[in-house]
Amino acid sequence: MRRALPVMAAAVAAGMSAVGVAWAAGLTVTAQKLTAGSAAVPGFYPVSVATTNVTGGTRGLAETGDILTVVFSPGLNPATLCSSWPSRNQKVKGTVAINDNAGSTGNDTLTVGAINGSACGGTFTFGTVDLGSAGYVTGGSVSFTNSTITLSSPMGSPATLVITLGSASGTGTPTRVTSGNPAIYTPATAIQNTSGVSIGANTSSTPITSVVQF
Amino acid sequence: MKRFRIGAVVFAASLALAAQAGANVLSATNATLGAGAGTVTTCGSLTSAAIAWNTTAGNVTSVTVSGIPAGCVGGSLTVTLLAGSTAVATGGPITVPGPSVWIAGLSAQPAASSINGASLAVAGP
Repeated sequence: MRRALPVMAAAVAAGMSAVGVAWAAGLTVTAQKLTAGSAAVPGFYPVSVATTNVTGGTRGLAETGDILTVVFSPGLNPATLCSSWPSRNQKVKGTVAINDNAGSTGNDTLTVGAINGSACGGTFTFGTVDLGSAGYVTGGSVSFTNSTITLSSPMGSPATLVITLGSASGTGTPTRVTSGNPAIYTPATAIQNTSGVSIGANTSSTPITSVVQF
Repeated sequence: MKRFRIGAVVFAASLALAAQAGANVLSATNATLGAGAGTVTTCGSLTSAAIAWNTTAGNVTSVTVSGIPAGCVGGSLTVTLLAGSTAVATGGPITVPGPSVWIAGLSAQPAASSINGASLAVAGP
């Protein structure tokens, strides 16, 4: 009995060691590099973009009175859109263009061009809306002169920019779109909030159910 | 013969206990696993990583992670969006093609206004 116990203990110890090695050897390391960290999230960004057909208008056809609405997260600095907009609620008139096949994938795009008179120093900082289809204008670009651009930016709340299309002119012709993809607004990076934070590379799209604009 | 049987039973029990004990003492902070296992290292620092997102009606529908170090290209990245300390959406894993990567197909589309942080994890390359 005295001799059997040490033998048994030695056997148990050897067994445990062998199992440990075998168990570890059975592990499979699938990635030898594991990296973790945090990333800053946007402090200022477009919240939404949407289009509205003018009452009595043709759905899918860009025409006078149709509306594009962009909402920014709280804190927009209006002066970064228009240099002569020191306060929160403003309105100017200018030219809005639908540019024929100007998007990176060949879709038509919407941009804001010259501003009437001396407002905004003549230039409005907006960015580009990819309209999700190449069919909104054909034969060239179309300018909507005397379009109205209105900003409503209550203190501490999201700011809303409303662009109402004016009169169409130009080499191209507005045409009706019956199917397409959501529109995507890519802001000009110069747009900032009152803390100087750029809107950066953040974008906004119309809902997947909204594939025809205007 | 009887002693041999008892010894065999004790030995078998010890095998089970050893395996259980081995699992219990593992820690996620261990740099090595077992004898001769590969050392876990990082692919680089993610301190410059930043997120841009696309919103639809105020909700985050996709994210772009930029500022990824060159050493992480080819790795598998997962992003988690946080509301406070709560994970509200995850994206990936997706292979990192370069210094930035676009991730669509998030597990949820949380309100952008609710998100105040994001965590990243890269496995490999």
